[in-house]
Amino acid sequence: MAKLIHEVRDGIHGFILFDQLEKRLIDSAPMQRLRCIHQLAMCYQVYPGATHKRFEHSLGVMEVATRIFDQVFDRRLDDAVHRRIKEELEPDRKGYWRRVVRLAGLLHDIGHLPFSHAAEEALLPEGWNHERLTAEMLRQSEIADILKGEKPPIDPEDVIDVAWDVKKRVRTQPDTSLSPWKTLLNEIICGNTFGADRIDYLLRDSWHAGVAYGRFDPDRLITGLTALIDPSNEEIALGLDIGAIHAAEALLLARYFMYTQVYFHDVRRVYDLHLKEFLQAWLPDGKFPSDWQKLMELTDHEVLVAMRKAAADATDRHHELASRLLARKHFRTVYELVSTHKKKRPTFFQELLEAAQDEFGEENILADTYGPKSETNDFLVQTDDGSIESSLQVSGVIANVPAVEIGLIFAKPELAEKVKTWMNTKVKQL
Amino acid sequence: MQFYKHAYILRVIQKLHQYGSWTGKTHVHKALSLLRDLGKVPVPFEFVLYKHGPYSFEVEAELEQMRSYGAITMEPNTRGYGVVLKAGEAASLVEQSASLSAEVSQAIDQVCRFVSSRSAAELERLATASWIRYQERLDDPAEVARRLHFLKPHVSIVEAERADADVRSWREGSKE
Repeated sequence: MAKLIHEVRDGIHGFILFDQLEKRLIDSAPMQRLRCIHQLAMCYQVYPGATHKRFEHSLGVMEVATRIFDQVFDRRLDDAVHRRIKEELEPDRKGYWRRVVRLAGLLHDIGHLPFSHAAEEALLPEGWNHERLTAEMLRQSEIADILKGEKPPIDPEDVIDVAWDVKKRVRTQPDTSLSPWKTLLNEIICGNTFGADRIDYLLRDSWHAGVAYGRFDPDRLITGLTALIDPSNEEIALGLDIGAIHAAEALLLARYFMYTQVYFHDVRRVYDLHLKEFLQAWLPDGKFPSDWQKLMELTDHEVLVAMRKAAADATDRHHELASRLLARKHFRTVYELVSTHKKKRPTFFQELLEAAQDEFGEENILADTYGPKSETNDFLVQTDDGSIESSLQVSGVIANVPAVEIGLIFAKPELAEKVKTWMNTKVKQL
Repeated sequence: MQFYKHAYILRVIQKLHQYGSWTGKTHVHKALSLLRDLGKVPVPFEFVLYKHGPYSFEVEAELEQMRSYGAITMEPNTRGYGVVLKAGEAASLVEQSASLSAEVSQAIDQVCRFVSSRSAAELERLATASWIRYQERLDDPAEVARRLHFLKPHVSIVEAERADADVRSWREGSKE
């Protein structure tokens, strides 16, 4: 007798179960392609264990999203909340939406470029990003046929609405308007604090990188989740029971440390810059195709083969760029922005960069900046007496999680010591 | 560093405090959105219609930038939700680096007087009604109210009509 439920063992969540429909989707070409796309680009050059792929992350997001959905909608909801969404909680509708949430988690990353986020904006035609490519693939690839062929059929647009982070979507599609119900489901996948995507990647990335920073207690966090009405604007939103507030604090601190220690590690960032340079030189017209069918032919494997070939052949026109990545001839860090420098002179970083480029040549100096950015940590917390408070009020930790900002200047290895000495002089003059 | 953008934001924060507002992020986003809809002066920020009405990712990014060098401070609101924004130690640097014209200052003053005492829920309704009328260019009050109710089902038609009327009445007054 054919199996109706399948399982796969996952290093983070234990057994992950999936049904026949999900199996067909997992076996599809767009999902299998994710086995060949590193979750953290070339971060493995810094953290050798970080070789995991988008594929297992996608399974993990499906699993976490299901736990959140069941936790939020299987418990007794507040009357005011229930009145707003009762039609969607009728057994047939609820079963449909539970499937949509699982599929949104599973399929949310299928449009990723090789090496995931590294320089996505620079490597796609204007107006394109991996989320839009994911939506195209959900509408047009074999995945659409599988979804529509299911009984009852799954509408790919529902999966897109739940999977595509609405705060990113409105930037490229300003007419996007999700119902309060879909906004809630979107939050389950993409939410800043409780989103399944974030919960999975923090746990998974830290485990693979071998760092302790990303760890927190996901079970305690998820069992505290609930749907609440925001008293400040009367909107329905995901919130937390006060008992789980320390798990949320741990997640937010984990996120802060993962950003500062792993995702924005200076050497990791310079590898991203070199990867962008290589891809811009190697790709036709310096861009990935926005045609999803052509993109499907490209994974990290194709890029790495070309890179290895170029690195091994001194006559190859991409030899130098490839060697930076594969022979550890990457640019070296010569300056890292610290907040005291910025407070003394807000324009210091830009001035220093321009002066260094004038002094040593633009081709010998690279820079990378991010932020300052602090994610919205203001969410609803239900206290023991039933009142609803802001997380910023009930938790001093959450109110004070610092913003993340990086400003890095790199120099060609041969010049690094000289540039660093010159930079130190400039910093002392500040 | 875009000091001229910071000058807009800083002036809004200062004026909101002057008119007694507790001055949260919602006040700043909605004030600048209404300022844009008012159409009297250029407003250097893009807005989208987001979960709680008009919202600017640029304003959000510039608020973070301003906090990072001390042009503003952000503290949790001890009386409710969100954070309280205040001018910081480096506010004078913004004022020295970029000055606002008299027209811009006057328009900001008009908007801040209008929004200063409003709650976040009121601001969402007002700014969304204004967006529908002046960005989506719906003219008929009944249509504006229906659209607002469609976008925000928890806002009744009566509340939506009131928000639209409130915005129109304020704009009429600000012409004088």
